[in-house]
Amino acid sequence: MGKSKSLNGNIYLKTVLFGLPSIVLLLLFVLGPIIMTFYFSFTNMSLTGAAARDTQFVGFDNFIRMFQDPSFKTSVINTIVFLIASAVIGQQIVGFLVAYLMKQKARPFRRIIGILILAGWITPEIVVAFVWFAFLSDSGTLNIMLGFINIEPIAWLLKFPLVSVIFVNIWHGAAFSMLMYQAALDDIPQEVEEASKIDGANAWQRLWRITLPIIKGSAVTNMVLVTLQTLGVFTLIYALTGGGPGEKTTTLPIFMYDQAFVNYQLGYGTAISLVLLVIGISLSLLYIRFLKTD
Amino acid sequence: MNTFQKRILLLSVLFLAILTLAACGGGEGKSSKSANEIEIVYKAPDESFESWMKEAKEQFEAENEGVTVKITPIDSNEGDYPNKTILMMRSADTAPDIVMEDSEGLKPNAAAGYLAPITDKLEEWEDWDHFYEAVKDGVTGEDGEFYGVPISTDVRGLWYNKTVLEKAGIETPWNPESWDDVLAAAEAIKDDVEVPIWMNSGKAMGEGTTMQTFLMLLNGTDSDLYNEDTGKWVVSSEGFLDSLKFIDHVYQNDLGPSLSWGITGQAGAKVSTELMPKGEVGIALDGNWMSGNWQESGNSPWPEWEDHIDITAMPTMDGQGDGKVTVSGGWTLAIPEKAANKDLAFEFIKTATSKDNLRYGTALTPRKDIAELDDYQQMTYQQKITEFLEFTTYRPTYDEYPMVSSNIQKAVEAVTTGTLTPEEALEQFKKDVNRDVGEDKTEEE
Repeated sequence: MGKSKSLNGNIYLKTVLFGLPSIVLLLLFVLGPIIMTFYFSFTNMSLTGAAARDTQFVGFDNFIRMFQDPSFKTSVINTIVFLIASAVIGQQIVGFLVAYLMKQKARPFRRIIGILILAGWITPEIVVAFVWFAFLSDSGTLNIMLGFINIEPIAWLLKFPLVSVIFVNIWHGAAFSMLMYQAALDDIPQEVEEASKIDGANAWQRLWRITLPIIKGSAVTNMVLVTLQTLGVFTLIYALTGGGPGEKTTTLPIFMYDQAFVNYQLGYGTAISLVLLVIGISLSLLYIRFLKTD
Repeated sequence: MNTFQKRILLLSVLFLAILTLAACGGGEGKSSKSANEIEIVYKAPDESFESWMKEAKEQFEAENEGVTVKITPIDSNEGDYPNKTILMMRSADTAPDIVMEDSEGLKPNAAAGYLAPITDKLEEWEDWDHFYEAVKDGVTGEDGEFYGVPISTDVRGLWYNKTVLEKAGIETPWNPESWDDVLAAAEAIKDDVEVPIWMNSGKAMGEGTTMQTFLMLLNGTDSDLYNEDTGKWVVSSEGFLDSLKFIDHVYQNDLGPSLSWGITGQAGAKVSTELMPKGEVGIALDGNWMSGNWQESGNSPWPEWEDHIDITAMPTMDGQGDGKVTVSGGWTLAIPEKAANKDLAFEFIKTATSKDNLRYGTALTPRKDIAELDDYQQMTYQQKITEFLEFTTYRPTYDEYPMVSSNIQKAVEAVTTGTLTPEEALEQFKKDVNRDVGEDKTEEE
């Protein structure tokens, strides 16, 4: 008895010792800034002007102003549309389809397709933005191709700005989901699939009854990751459209940047970032809850 | 793995963690700069500034044994430069000794405590009397102290392509007397050029849209943006609506640039370095610095530019007032409060802005004695442009100005893209400014 107790104590001590550095770092660099953000969002902190020297506590002023600001509502709607269309639907479905279709195909085929799709993912956002800016421009590749079938050039980023950035983000991010699903699909025991085949299940039934339920956990994890990544997308949109024309592609990160670094209202900007944080946390909790119900 | 190995492993992990933490906490307050080095930061690319500074540096280093002047370019667009320099000025570790500062940011940055007042130093400097009085207003903080030395001033006007206008039967030199004259000229050349009239009209151009386009219009009406008597922002006025209607007319009648590039951040460069030299722009409402691009040392040398391009003053709406209107800003050299070598920095500014040295490209000079020099007057159109200073106006760059200005840009872009009518955009502007600066600081005409 006594021996095992001291052994337990030893393990406990080791756990704490090994965990300590990462706990300290997390407190310092993750929790610290979150608490600061929380505090700053209740001040009139400014990048310049008198308020930069003398920052004052202003209570809920920033939040009242935010909820009265139609641009805030527009950005929330844009953010949700962008999130659902490009991440939840776009990247998930494209990623899954590619992974599913590539399953059990010849190795060279998987390699080539995999590399092509990964290329979009490893390209830095700013480069992706420039590539697509050129591709979608008046005399860009897309309009030249459309010209072959006698379609007049379309100013994509002007006429369909949100659709364009959604499409670009799917192109950029689908590889991540593809990797997640590839790993998940490879983990499905072959015996299960073979057994269902012998029992006479068709391809559709196998996908719906066998594959999807088994990879559900991975799907939810992927959903959380992709959602958080997409909520934070800034460079791609900022470089492609700057949030415009008008406010058609202004998502919350762009709106936050404009308030904090164009209007110099840091306090207001941090208040917006807090809302973004709350949205991220709520969505993650929602997904995890969804996973637990079954 | 035996016990000994495990202990070693545990120790090294702990050691690494402590090292990491120690590294994070260090570096406070220590400046790597030596007492004999001054650093000056400027908005790049700007070859005129760079070559001027290099000459001043050579002279200063020759005159002051052991002193080094470090010229640091900050690659940046119009919108990000103030942020980058503010972030540098906030810490003693990164604050340069001299910062090239837009007069727009000078008042708020002085109020924020980022800049050091230099009134005492300037009053002891005999050259200070040679600077234009109007330009000195641009470097005065709200507390009445001077916070910088002006290095340039600027005006805005209508650059136009003589060849294109003449071909359309418009007499040159062109002297439009009202907005209608400008629109009529643009209409006349509509089919001859890609861009009949260019003006900054998007949020991406930031302040350029407010200053080069909107204020050039608004200041030509009978309305103001800021009421100096009451100290309030005018959020709704007849002139504001008329200005938006002018912009609306330009874009609804296809007199402006194609919107697919015309409201992006790259548009200004495309117009001045590509389309104008090609003769594809009829009229450009823009700054006097535009011709700097076409000099031998510019971004897009165009030796024959004088044969094709001329400049004229922007008329007021119906020819009221002086009949002409322009808006001025300009750049200054300022010393951050957290600079390490303030005295040496001021000595360098004196050298750089002396009568013999202050040659900043084609920029309008802030010094009266330089403006009288023959080689200054010989620069193309320089005399004509300098005359604009007689009827110029300055921006109300108070603390709230950046917010008011970005709401102006939002309204202009909305009208430009046809998202809102001028009336709707005015209504939106009123609401936005009331919310952003507070209703106690606004009024309606």
